[in-house]
Amino acid sequence: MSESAEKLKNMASLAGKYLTFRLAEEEYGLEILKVQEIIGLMNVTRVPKTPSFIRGVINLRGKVIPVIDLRVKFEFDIKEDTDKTCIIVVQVNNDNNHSVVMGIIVDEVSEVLDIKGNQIEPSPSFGASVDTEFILGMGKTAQKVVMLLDIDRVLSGDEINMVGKTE
Amino acid sequence: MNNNDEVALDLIEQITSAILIANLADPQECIEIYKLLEELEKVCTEPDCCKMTRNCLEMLEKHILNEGTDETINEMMFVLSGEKRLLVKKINCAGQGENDRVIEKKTDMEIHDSGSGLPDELVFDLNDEIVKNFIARQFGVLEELEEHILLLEKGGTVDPLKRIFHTLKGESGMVQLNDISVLCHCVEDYIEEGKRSIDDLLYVKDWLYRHFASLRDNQVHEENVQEVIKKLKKTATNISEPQQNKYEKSIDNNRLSSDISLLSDFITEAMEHLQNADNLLLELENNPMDDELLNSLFRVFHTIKGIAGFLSLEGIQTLSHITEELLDKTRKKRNPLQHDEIESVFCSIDTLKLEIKQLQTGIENGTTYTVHEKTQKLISYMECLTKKSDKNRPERIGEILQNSGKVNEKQICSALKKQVEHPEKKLGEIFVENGLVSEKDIDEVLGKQGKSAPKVAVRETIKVDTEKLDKLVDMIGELVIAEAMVTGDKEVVERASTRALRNMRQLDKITRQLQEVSLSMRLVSLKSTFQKMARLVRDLSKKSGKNIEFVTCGEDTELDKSVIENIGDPLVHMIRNSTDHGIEPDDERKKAGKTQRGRIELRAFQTGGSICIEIEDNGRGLDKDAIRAKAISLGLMEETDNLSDKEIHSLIFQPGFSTAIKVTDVSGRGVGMDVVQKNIQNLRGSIDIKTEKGKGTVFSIYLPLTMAIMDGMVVMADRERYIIPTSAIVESMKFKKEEITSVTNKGEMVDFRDNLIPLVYLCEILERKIDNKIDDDKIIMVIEDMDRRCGLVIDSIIGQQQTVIKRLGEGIGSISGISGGAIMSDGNVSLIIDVGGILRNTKQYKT
Repeated sequence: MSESAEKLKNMASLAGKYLTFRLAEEEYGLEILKVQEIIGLMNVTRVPKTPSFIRGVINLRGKVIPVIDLRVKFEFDIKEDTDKTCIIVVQVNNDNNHSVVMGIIVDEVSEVLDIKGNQIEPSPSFGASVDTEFILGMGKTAQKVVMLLDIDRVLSGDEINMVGKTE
Repeated sequence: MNNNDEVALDLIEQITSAILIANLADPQECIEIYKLLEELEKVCTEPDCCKMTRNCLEMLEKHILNEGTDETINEMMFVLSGEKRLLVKKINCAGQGENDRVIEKKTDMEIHDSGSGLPDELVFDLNDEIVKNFIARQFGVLEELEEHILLLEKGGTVDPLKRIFHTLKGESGMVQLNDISVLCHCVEDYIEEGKRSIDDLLYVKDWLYRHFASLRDNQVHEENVQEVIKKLKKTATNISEPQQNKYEKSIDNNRLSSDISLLSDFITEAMEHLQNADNLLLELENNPMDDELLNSLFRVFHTIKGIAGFLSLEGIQTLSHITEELLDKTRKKRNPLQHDEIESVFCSIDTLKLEIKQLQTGIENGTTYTVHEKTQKLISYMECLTKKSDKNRPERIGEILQNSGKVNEKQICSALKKQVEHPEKKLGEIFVENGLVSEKDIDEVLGKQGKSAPKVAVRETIKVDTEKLDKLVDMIGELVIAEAMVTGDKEVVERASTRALRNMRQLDKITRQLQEVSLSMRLVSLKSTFQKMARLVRDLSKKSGKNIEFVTCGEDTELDKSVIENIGDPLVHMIRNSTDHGIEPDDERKKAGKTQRGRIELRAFQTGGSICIEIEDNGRGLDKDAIRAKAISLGLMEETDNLSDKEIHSLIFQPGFSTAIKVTDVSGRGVGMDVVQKNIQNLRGSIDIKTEKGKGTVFSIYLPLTMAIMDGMVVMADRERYIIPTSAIVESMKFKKEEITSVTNKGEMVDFRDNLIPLVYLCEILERKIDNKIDDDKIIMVIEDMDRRCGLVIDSIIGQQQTVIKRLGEGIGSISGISGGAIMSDGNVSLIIDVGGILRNTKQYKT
């Protein structure tokens, strides 16, 4: 009992504004403070010898930043880019607590939602085989359910930094 | 008798300060001053002084009886300062022993009084750079002051005010603006007494503003400082004794802990000054008769002494004072500095640097600052040196010529004899007539002998945070790209009118200029680096007993700041090598029939897209056979290997490689050149050696103009653009299928100028799909790094381009074969090929 109360309390601390976006028919939410900006899809330069979920690099006003294809990362079916496909530029903290700027490619950006503490529920557990670690919780609003992403986990520096070193 | 004079001097000082501070409208105070004057009259033995004192007394009487004008007091001050000067002169003449006491007086910071405590020539001219700078700075200070005064009203503290006035007092005293320093002193007292009238303080600030403004415009400020002081006195009563130094000590004891910002300012400033002093002294050594140089040097020490004085940094103050003393003596005697004197001034500069560094670490670690023991020793040594006075004269033209090896003693004698016959002729002319030396040489020598002070206009600079600067440069980079995107847009260009196109071209031009300026902002001249080298050569030649002439050329050449920071070390190593190994000892030079004086030349110039720094010596040159033998013994090469001269010479860059028989404390371990090559490679530069045995060596270092910009060749492979550094490209060629030799399991080779080199497909390396391998319209680009070569197969070449190197974001680590990304004119990112990485991975193909 007390454990679940604590969990609920944790959930309450997640209350705040979230940028929601669509990815393969699902709705996801990103903590608004992590988002730097949203840009339209531009020409992405592929970088060899990187995992497939790294689409490549782009020029963000003179700065070169990597772009992650979230569909590939989440192992969804690969779909052609549309007009609505865009890049959300996020600031992620990697393991060394360095802030890294990255872009993530999503199908469509929806809106900014104000989610209150009582609207958030812990992520459901599907048993041991399903990893829900990168989901902070589920936000329920009148119309829909939004998965709140722990973006630091999704783009964990560990996984990405491993990339280049394997020759 | 002398004692009397000193008492008189003290009295005069008391009187002058009393006059400045006293409320002269109050008869009681005037009588006090009157009494002091009477005492002075009694003490004074010098008839002239008596007369002057008498005059003063009469003037004061007039003032008390309200008969005098406002001018009376000023006149009185003038007379008193004249009297003081007279006394100082008298004491100065009184003898060596007495001399020291006057010097002591001088350090007591009594320059605040009326400027007469110092010899006349020391009084700063208002046109002096230092004074100008000081005045210019004060407007900002006054603004700050006003802000703090206003804050006071809202409950702020008086501490910042105290600090400002104290600084101002010290600095204005230093540049002989005595009115200001006296006023500041009064204000300090005023604050100390707990008075807080905002109006009064603002009045003082306004007065100071007007005063500085009139000083700046070279006008006379009408308002008398007395007025302000009087006004202050109305609120403040009972001003404590005006003895400057006592006051100073009482509040300065804990300054180290309390005023870090002031100290750190001092540290940076003093370091700059000392750097400057180094250069001045070096120049002075070559140009001993240049008064201007000596004066500048003098000012450096004077400034440091002044600031260190009011910061209570005793060691620094005493040392700079004694150095100043030494220089002053030289200046008065109009003799060039002696060799040991120069040496000791150098020593003093170094020690001061050491002291300041210590002070800095002291501040950083929160420890207290103590005077270094070395400093104490140096101070006493220099004291001895100052007392010792020996005569010297400027070098004669003949001596200079003889030293430089142009003529010998006999020739001078005969020329001198000739001069006796024709007394109207100059010695130099006779030399030229005899064909011994050219006219140019004589001009050069005359330049050395006389005063050839090249005056350099001081450019105004402003210190900017590098972070801000980098941001600006970044943003301008973005602007250039954005501009290119707009003007390069097909749609825009097709629909635009002629006028719009013209405007666009104008925009293009301006952005390009902007980019050039932004890049040049990070550029720093090589001057300070070269000057450091000059000092190094000097020290090393003294140490090794070799006579070396050091010439620099092109020191105004500019390089990126980061490059300058990293080029210092390699240059030091190379110069050390040149002096230690390159230049032979004197007797060896004589045997080889060379001039006695060795010569090292440091040159910098721009060639194409890179900067070249050359170090040339006329020493013994590299010994090819010795290097070869050493390399064989170290197993770096086989005896049968047939290496080119260039390859043999480059062996000296191998770590631990040295042909020196004996390891000296300068060089010989074979570490230096290794460092040189590493650093230069890190800077994406290269190094080249030209040498001739017995004649000398030239090392040429080629460096890119900036670290961030690279000259690259844009190529296509699988519909993607890549950039290959131009410096790595040997040659590009078309080829036919038949020329490719396939080696089983070893890949493909191509015949390039009778050498088989491995073929590498760029697409393959970058894991792009490979379409139909080789066909006739593909291109092989031969790339090279560290003597390894390979042929890179690409689709086509687009062209050469200057590119800005960017890292591939932090999320992506290092990838072999890719060194970074570059933003192209269309805003897309292209990858830069790491040639070294590719060649390392293909080493298994190596024949």
